[in-house]
Amino acid sequence: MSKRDQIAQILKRFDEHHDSVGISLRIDLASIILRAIDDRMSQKELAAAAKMSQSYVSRVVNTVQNCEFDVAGRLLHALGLRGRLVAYAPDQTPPPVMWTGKSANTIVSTSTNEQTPPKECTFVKTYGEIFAFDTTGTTVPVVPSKDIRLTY
Amino acid sequence: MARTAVYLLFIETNVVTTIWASNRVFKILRKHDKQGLFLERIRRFAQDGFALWQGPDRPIRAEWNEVYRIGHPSTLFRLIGFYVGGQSCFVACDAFLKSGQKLGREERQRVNEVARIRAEGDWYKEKE
Repeated sequence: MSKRDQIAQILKRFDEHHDSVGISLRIDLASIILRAIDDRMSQKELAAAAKMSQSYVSRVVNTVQNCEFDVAGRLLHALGLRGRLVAYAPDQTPPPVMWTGKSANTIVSTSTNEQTPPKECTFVKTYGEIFAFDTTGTTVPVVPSKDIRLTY
Repeated sequence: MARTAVYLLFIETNVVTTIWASNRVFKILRKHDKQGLFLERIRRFAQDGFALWQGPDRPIRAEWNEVYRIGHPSTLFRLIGFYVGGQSCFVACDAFLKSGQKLGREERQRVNEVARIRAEGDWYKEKE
């Protein structure tokens, strides 16, 4: 077995263990916080807004801290966000961790390429990233400058 | 001294930052991360792109001479490497379990050796 296959096997075992779901949620929360605070506020400011210590926020961001839903909610609220827990089957593509926000838009593609992406997609713009979903809800890769011209 | 060969760490292609790792890193990961917690973290970091997770109070932090380390959430395990091509590629040359909160002399020497490999380009990508 190759080195990479051995690593893949460790990850497969991890994915199959019940603890992996909680760990994944911790990483999701940290990922959301880091995306949201970028260029907007520091961890210190977030801690003050959420009425918790900076060291606690740091532990959450570093995925060390296991936190309760209420605490996660306070952090999201302080960031001006709302949260929902989205479940999916192991064989499905995970949904993006962040797809709401002030800049969310639903638009129709003006692509000249009828295959990629499909003519009709729902586009959701988050902080700096654009996700597209076709009519079945499947994520479609988007390269705005190449594949599509976005109109708002 | 032989140049350091590095190999693609993950099979997944849906990553923003590609991670390459030396034989030593593969060996240490297999030994110290049997449960896969650390691997899962860096897989997620790679999917998001290391840029998101890097910073003074983030999991990926700068050491010195453009060498970076990624810490384990619950142990003193550290992965040491550097970027190539902006932040699209991370080359993990070494990893170790720190003996204390601060780096010891031997650990600093290992970081220095990774810095030397980066500065001298003393490494190459190897297909497995």
